[in-house]
Amino acid sequence: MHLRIDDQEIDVPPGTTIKEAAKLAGIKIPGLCDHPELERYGGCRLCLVEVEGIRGYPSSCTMPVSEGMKVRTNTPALKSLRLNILEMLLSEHPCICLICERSGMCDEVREGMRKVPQTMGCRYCPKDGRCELQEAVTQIGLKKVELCRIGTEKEIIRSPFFDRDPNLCILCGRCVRACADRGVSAISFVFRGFDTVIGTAFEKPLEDVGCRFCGACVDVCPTGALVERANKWSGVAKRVVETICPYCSSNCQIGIEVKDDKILRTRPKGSKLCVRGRFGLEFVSNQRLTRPMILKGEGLVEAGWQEAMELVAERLGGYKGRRFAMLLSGVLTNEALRTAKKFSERVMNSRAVAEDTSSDFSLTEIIQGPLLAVGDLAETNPATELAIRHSKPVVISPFRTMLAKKASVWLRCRPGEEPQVLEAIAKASVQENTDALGDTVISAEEILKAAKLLGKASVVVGPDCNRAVRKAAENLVRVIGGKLCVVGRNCNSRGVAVLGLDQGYEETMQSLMSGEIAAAYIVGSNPARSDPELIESLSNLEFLVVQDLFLTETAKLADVILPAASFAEIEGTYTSSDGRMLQLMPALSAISKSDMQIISELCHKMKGRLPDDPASSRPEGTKTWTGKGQQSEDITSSGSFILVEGPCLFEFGSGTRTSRVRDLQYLNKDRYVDIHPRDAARHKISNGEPVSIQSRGRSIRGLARVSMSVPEGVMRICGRASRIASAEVRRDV
Amino acid sequence: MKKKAARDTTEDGAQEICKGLDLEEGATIPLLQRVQSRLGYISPEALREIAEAMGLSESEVYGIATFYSEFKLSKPGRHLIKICMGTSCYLGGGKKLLEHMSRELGIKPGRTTEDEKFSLETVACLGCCSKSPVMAVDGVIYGGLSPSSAESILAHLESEP
Ligand code: SF4
Ligand code: SF4
Ligand code: FES
Ligand code: FES
Repeated sequence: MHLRIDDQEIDVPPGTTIKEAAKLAGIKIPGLCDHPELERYGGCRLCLVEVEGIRGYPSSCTMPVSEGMKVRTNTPALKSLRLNILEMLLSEHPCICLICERSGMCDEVREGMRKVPQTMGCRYCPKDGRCELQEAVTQIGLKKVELCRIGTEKEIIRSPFFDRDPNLCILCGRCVRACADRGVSAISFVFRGFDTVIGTAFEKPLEDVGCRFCGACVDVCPTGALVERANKWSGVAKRVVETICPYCSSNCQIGIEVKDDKILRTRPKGSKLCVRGRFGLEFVSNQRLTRPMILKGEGLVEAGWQEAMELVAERLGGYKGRRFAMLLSGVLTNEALRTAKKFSERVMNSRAVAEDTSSDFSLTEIIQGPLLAVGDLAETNPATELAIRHSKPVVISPFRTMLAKKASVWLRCRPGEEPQVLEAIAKASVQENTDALGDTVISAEEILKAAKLLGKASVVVGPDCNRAVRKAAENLVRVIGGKLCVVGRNCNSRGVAVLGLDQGYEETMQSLMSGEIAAAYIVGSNPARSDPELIESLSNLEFLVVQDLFLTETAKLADVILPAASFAEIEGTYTSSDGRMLQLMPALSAISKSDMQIISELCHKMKGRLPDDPASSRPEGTKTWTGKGQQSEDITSSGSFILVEGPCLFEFGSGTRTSRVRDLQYLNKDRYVDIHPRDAARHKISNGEPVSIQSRGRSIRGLARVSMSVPEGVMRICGRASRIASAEVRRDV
Repeated sequence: MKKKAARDTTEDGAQEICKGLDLEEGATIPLLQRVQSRLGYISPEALREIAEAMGLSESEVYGIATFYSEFKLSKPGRHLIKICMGTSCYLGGGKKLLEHMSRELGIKPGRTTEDEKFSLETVACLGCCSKSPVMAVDGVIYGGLSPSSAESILAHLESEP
């Protein structure tokens, strides 16, 4: 479409707004409420333009272009309109500094940066230097505000990770739209007229209205109304380092803002981050190990690298062969994984394994076709879930997950029934009649309906699904000619799988439990926390080396602890699920050596020593490993309740890192037990009431959360801590 | 124990009210009206039910409810205090009176004290402009008030059981 903006002729595709077209032509129209990633709105009226043949002044951010349009963006009339509108806007906003004629010069004479708890003007605003209002004032050329200040001081609302200062809010509605875009709508415009604010139902705290703390609202806020609390007053970053989020396999691109060798904040880089990538990186500077430690006598004491490495090399030398095991994890870089694999195979004549896997698939491709999803991806892999949500997948889940809400067909099975449902779909897609579709709570009609949608579909299996689900999914994929997409748990799950390190984890655990393994080297994982039943076997090891960022539960059992550098301090790569190499960039100076460096130094030290005889018989009377995290085993029913543990957004994996992020810890402080309203009524439990659940002689305490998201007769506990409690469930309050 | 029983009935009530309504687009307001006419106000539980039924978030429904002044969002107290914000009263010190009472009771206008004794509201003009500033307590009009005289009227009520 061809149009003229000011003196420029330009061609743009239909559907473009005037404002976007102007931007393409290099003309910047001011505006505070529109945002390229959000729904069009047209609330602030700063982007008014004149269009030949149209009366009045349309807002350019909402009006689409049309053929032959003639637009003027900067006439005297427009200028004075904008001045007036902006002046009005500023009559409700602290603005002295914006229009002070010595603006920008007061830095030298400023004393005591913060004597008052509230922002009085821009120099005292946490967004100073990053504020779009400042930009607009400059661009529009406002020099004075003559209207008197109206409105009363409103209280600052604190929530985990960020603060909301309603006094700085210009009610542009960006945050509301950003939240709606994520499908949450925790905030909304409330009250009307002068009293209008952005708020929550009954002014409840954000965590009580379903906020997932992705920070999308903070990212789009043009003013200082919404800012991260961490480093709030540290100003603008010196540099931004683009790297990859170290949590889940969604592999979001992040920009780490750095100043004085400290992470100020993290911003999305063309990605839609979740709370972990956005606010969860504080662990890199929290309780880190900086020096190796060695078990001497009863306790672990700090030691030099030389001493620690010598000791490891010497002791491990005695366990070559099958008495040694190396446990890795998908949080490590490809470089570290490769070196570790080489170390355990060539130097130790044994194998390295990781409890992690992922298949090879391209998210952008699979969302083009039909989809079936199993697992609670919104909790485990939020960005992946966001991407597939829009293609309206068929969802198998007992719970009304974020994804189930958007499903084209939601097959609400009983917990643990997922494999049977997958089987039923497989059957239904080859046979016409409705009988013999298996014995699930889902009707044959629904199964058939789903099967009809799923020809050649991609089957997405979340990392919270057990092996039975994966098997059934594999089979279904074979029948329907689709694609199996096993979503990885960690940032480099795919790297683990490519190197074949996902093979043999269970056997290794068996040999660990049976005592066949006498020495182990654990890098970047914390089995003592994720799997408390392994603690005994780990402490019985003759020699245990743990390499980690922190003094983890597992590290406490070690003979030698080697401190490693975090993802933010190293270069390296992760492999994405579609096989791309994603580059990590160092943002901070390294606190310690990288995993790869440590392991390769060890390789050098130990090479040349002769391998010992692989050997030593298996001790008598041993236990066997029962496996964990497997849904079917975590489900037990007793009386009328089935207890299920679900993954939790705020606690990642074993929780080693997320427990070192203060506000995530705060969000995890209460363990919630979801219970259906009818069950709650029957047992006289009300929302928020403490409950205790008896299980295997242990009792789990939690707060009841009455919610339709669980089916009747089922209780769901959020997060890892419940893992201890997978047995009989009885209610006793 | 007694308190809990009361809460349970509200919850059930809300559920019942929302049941069986046709949930077409735009039904939120009729639902709110229905709840208000049954309960006398929109309780947090009822709001949750409505949100659930409409596929909206609680905050979205709250946004709608607070947009229309007809909806009350807290349980009416035993005594209703209305402070006039009409032009004459506003100029005659009504604003100050409101701020004072709001601080005294610890609630914003539109709310009810925790002990459910007082609700505070503002009105546009009570038709007694000559006596500004004016306040009405349970329908009885008091004029020419100062913060302290208004307080003593409340104190009188407060001493009641
Ligand atoms: S908080 Fe920020 S984004 Fe939200 S309405 Fe106010 S100014 Fe706009
Ligand atoms: S979705 Fe995954 S990769 Fe993206 S920010 Fe969250 S944890 Fe990090
Ligand atoms: S930017 Fe167009 S109305 Fe705000
Ligand atoms: S303005 Fe208060 S009674 Fe009229």
